[in-house]
Amino acid sequence: MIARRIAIHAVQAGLVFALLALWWWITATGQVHPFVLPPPMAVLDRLGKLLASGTFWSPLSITMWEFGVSFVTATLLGLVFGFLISRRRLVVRTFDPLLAALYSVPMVLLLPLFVLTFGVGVGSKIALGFVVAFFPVVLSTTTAFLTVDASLQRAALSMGASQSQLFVRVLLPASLPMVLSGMRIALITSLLSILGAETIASLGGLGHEIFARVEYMQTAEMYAYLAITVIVAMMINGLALWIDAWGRRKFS
Amino acid sequence: MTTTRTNIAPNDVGAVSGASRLRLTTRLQNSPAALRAGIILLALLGWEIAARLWGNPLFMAPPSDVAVAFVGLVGNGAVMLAVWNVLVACFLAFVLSVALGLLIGVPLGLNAFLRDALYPMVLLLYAVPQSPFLPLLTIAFGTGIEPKIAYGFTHGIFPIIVTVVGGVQNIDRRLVVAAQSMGASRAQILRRIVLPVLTQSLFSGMRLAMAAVVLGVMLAELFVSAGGVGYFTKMFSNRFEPENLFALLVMLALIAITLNESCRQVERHYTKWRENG
Repeated sequence: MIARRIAIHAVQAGLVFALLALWWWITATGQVHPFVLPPPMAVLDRLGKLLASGTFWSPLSITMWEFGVSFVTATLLGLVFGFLISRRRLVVRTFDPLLAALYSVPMVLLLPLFVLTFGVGVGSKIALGFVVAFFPVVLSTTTAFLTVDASLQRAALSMGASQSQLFVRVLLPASLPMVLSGMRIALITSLLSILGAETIASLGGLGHEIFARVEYMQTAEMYAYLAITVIVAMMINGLALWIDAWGRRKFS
Repeated sequence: MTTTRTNIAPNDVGAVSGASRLRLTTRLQNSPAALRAGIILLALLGWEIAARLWGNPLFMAPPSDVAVAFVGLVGNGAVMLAVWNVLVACFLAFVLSVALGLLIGVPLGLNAFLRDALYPMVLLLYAVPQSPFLPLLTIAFGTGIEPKIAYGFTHGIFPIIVTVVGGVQNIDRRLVVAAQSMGASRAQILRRIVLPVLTQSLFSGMRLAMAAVVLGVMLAELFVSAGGVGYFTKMFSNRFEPENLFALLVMLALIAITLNESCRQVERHYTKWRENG
């Protein structure tokens, strides 16, 4: 068994090493132009300088602001709309297919319209992040609230619970894992759309930096920014996965 | 969205007030589709009125203008070529994803050592966010159809690998052992046991892959503004022709819905026999 574990790790390490060696070899021998792919040491050097100087904080904070505003507003509105829709069977059957159909359209298509109406800056990114995050939250909330035991709701209502109490005290805790799954999907997809939108048309943010480094032909720095962006996004994704797993452990 | 729903509506009782109203509600209850159509119509009407009354024609177009522009775009050869290339890119990226996804997924599913060694790395790659990589596309692949195919492919291959590995792992080992003991060859086991089981999970993988491919291709199209659809979206924005921009985006949305929906239908069709049998 131990020999097998060692072999597995050897294969993994070998593969990573081979890729790095290949990267070094094709850049050192001039197989690819350094504009396309700079040598690994140059990228590492830029990454170190970037992290040491702290210049990445400003674009990072722009992206996080766009992401935070759109995610929080989309989640709140998604929860409220999901609650309102889930109250009546007719409303569910009317809106659920409509929302599901809209959900299957790639929302990035709205970006040119948002740029036109809200400008190239922060506004269009918030609008896009909002639309992307809203649908998974509203759809999962509707489904989640419908699965909540009807007798729980009847009991709460007969004891004089208001609609908002029913929402906060009964429905939300009773279906939290499913709601959290929807929020996790909303979180990661809206972050990715915002990053993508920033590379397509923007004035600031991590995606903008990546795009701008290409424009200025500073490819090594582009890869350094790319590394930072990937790490930040994966950290946020990891956090969301952790909260999701916590919700499932705790509430089901 | 196919979870079985225990529909409960604690407040539905309030609707009972007068026979005619009851009849109307029951009639509507029987056709949420009609209600849905009404809501869509109402939204379009609201958009039309709002755009005509308060909308700045430089940024906002009413749906009637968009419809006219849509017909105009259909007659525009250059735009239609760009839209056609979207379809071609989606198709090629999808085929590449399925082919290479199978080529990687089947060995990973069948061989435990390969799976333990390489599958975590595949999953790690799958978790890497792809949208920040958009600027790399034009560096590596230029501004033609290639970057769109490549980006669609990198989005589509992972769902295929994951579902194929899961599908192959789900194969009942006893079936394989039984077949082996009755003298089946490796090829026979692949054809008679692995493939039939695989097709089921493959179809759900293909649905996920198609949605991912469409997203990837659309993102790449919008990013690459030197040619293709991205060129026209940029041009229409710069010239302040919102009706053309809306119409073009509606066209792309229709393509996305059609591709996703046909994959969903195919999946539904092929998973039906499994539930019955």
